[in-house]
Amino acid sequence: MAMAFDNIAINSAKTGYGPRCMFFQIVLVAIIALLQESFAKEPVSVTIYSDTVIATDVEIPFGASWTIKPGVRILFEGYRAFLVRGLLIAEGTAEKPIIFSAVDRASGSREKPSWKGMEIVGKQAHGKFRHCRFEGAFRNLVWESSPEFTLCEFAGNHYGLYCMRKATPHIKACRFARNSYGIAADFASPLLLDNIITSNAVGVYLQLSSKALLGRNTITGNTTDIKEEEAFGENKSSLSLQYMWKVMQQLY
Amino acid sequence: MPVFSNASRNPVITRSCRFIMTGLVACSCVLATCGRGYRFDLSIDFSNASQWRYLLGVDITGSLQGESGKQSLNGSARTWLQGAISAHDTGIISFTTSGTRIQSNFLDENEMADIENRFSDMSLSFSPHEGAVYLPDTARIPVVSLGGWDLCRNFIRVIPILPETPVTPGATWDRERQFPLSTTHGSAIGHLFQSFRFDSVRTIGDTTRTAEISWLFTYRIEPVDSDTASLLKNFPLTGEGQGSASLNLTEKALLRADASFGVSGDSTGIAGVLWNESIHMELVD
Repeated sequence: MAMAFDNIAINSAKTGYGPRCMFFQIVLVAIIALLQESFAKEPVSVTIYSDTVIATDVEIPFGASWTIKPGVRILFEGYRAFLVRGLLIAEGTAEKPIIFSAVDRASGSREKPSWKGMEIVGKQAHGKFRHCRFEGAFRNLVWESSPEFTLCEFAGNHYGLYCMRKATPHIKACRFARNSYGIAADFASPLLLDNIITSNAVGVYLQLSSKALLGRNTITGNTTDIKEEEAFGENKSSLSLQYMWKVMQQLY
Repeated sequence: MPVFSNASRNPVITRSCRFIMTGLVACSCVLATCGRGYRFDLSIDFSNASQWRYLLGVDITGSLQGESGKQSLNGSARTWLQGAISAHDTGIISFTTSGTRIQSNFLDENEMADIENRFSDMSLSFSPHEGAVYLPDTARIPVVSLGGWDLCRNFIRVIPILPETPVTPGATWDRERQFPLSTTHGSAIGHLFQSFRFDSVRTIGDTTRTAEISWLFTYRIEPVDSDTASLLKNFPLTGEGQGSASLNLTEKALLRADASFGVSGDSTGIAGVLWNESIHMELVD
């Protein structure tokens, strides 16, 4: 049974958004997610070749790997999350970027977030993203992992990239624009190199004990370029209400 | 009684004695069913679960003593809970949330919308003898609670745990639970200790009787990652609260439950942290 699901390919007619094609891909993604759960001990490899609508929360479990080919649009219907505990490789090209967005969301839209976001969770989770565009998410989360983002765009999200719990993502030559927060780090150390972070409400937000290793980045034109909150240092009284809420919700 | 010494010789007195004895026995039975010594089965009839619709409300207030003075926050959540027997275990009731509304004086629009969306189709499960059943997969991080709102924990605090055998008013029972916590500053274990009491039986109208239950609880957090424990200890790590509930003994349904919980900030780090929750759950249909 494991062999039958190796190298699953998701493809559709090149005409793109035919309703029957999209329905097939929605059903197939749901089946794959269900089968991955059923056969959790068997590694599953999935390749996505063309546009896909995701109408349910999707998880790549530990041990599984998904590959998304250049030019593919992954569109979320409803408030969905793409959770990565295994491996996700999404390497587009300058001519054929890979898009993560929501159905019926125009590129460059300033509407409120339409999907939960990409969540790369756990020490064993990994992602390689090149020429990808993340748009319209509430929060693209990196928790305790070290994915790589190269030549990617984060636009129109609430949190372009939110790094937590000792996460050390490598973020190189990416662009963060029109997000509420371009990059946020909470007890994490993102490695930032050659990025452009502009036109965000907050460019880089460092929360309690976070260190962003910054080198040759352009952080300008944001309402606040860099915001730091360091109540665990010398100034214990600089904790914000927002951060107090976050920690107390996690504890209690 | 001297009257019995001559009773066998006088038929009228014999009948009177029997009448008195019968009356005394009847009175004893009535007194017994008034709650003195009678055991009540505090249970829930799951067969009606699909008809239950509850309103769950949570109000949170907090304050922080900062450099520039005291700052206050508040947040409210209101959601409907529709009951059903769990597909995984017929001994568990699952509630599905709908129509959630969040209000807050400090969360921005996107954050409130995010919480409302996450709560739009959430499942909260309840076993009468286990209380609220939290997510079984401890490997999953509680993503909802990352800066958002963990409705499951509010639900855990407001739902009573019922005794497994019939009990008399005044009976008490305890329950201790542990929860894995995954925070941005390391892992921890939450220790919840609850002490319940069957207070009394009330009669509403002619036919409905309710059991009134109350409880006290404490919640203590134990950091487990040695490299980050000192960070978590900047926040207060204990809280306490109380709750009460009414159980319809006739229909065997939970009518309402209330709980209040507070944390005060005696910590070595952040000064003046106060946190209070008020939770209410009420059967509306």
